[in-house]
Amino acid sequence: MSQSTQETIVDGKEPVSLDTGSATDFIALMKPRVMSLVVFTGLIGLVMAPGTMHPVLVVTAVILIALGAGASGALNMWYDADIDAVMSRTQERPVPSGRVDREAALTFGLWMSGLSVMSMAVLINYLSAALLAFTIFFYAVVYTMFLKRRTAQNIVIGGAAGALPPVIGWAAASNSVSLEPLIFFAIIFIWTPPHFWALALIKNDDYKSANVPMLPVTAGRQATLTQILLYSLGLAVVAMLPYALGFSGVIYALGAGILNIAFVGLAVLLRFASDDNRNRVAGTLFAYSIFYLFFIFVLLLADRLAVS
Amino acid sequence: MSDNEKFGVDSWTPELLKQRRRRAALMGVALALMVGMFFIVTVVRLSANMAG
Repeated sequence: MSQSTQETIVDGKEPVSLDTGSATDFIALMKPRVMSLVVFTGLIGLVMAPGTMHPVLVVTAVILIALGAGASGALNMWYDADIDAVMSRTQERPVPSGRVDREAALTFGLWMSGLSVMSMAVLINYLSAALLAFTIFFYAVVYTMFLKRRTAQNIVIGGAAGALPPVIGWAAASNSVSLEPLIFFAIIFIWTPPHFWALALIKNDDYKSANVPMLPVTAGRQATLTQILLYSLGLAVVAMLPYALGFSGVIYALGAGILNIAFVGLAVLLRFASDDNRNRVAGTLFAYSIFYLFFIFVLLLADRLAVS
Repeated sequence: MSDNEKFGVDSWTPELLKQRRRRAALMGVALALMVGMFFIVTVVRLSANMAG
């Protein structure tokens, strides 16, 4: 028996796993790469909000947003262990690979959820704690347990969870939510489908074998390419709202305009790409979409700093 | 009942014990940081209230 799955029998009962994973495995459970984007957008929400916040409170809020995001990731990996084991992209994750016991992942996720939300309520404010709790619930329960395996709109609706961190950040700093953070929410919400559908195009066989109804699996490649293009056009419009509504200035408008042209251009290229080139262009769009979101928020911040 | 009695004397290999020690150490550090965070935030909030 391999060490990673070492088990022993206690009084003839069910095998007890002694190996519940290393510290590194538990960090991997928190999906650090996803967490980094969540932390970044949450921080921008914090910094952009009106009023001043003590730096210690800013760091505390960011840590708690990160813990909440990590908790969601752990709960997602607990529930999705069966399909993660089937897909090449995810089969090396701690739970499907057997490095972390499934129950340990659940326990870890629940503790982290409770800890992050309670601490947010005690140390920051109730509004940001409520939003953080809602985000964890939406991602772990609504998206992971209900939407992901049932509908091709899984990541469209589920994208709301990933779009909330800047709103949480804003609420943490100002104890309120206004139109501005809701526009940040809208940008990430509209950005999510083309980002994930580009990945789903490349990993179509994975999702098919795991019976996950991603759009390329249920509606086919051509319909997905059209949807990516339509959402990209929608994103280009929504991303200009901060300027149109007077929240941001020319610096943001120019930068976002260039980023939008490149995003829509890639979506058009993908829509009309040949079969041989499609996966390569989809990979480029997927990578660019991460770069795009990062720089949209950098521009929002740069514009605000330039004005003040 | 000790873990060795519970699981059998030979169940905890040196590698598993090492891994468990690392997890415990990390958890200890995390808890200490948590306590530190609560303490510092409390001081910051109290200072702000006193200044206000």
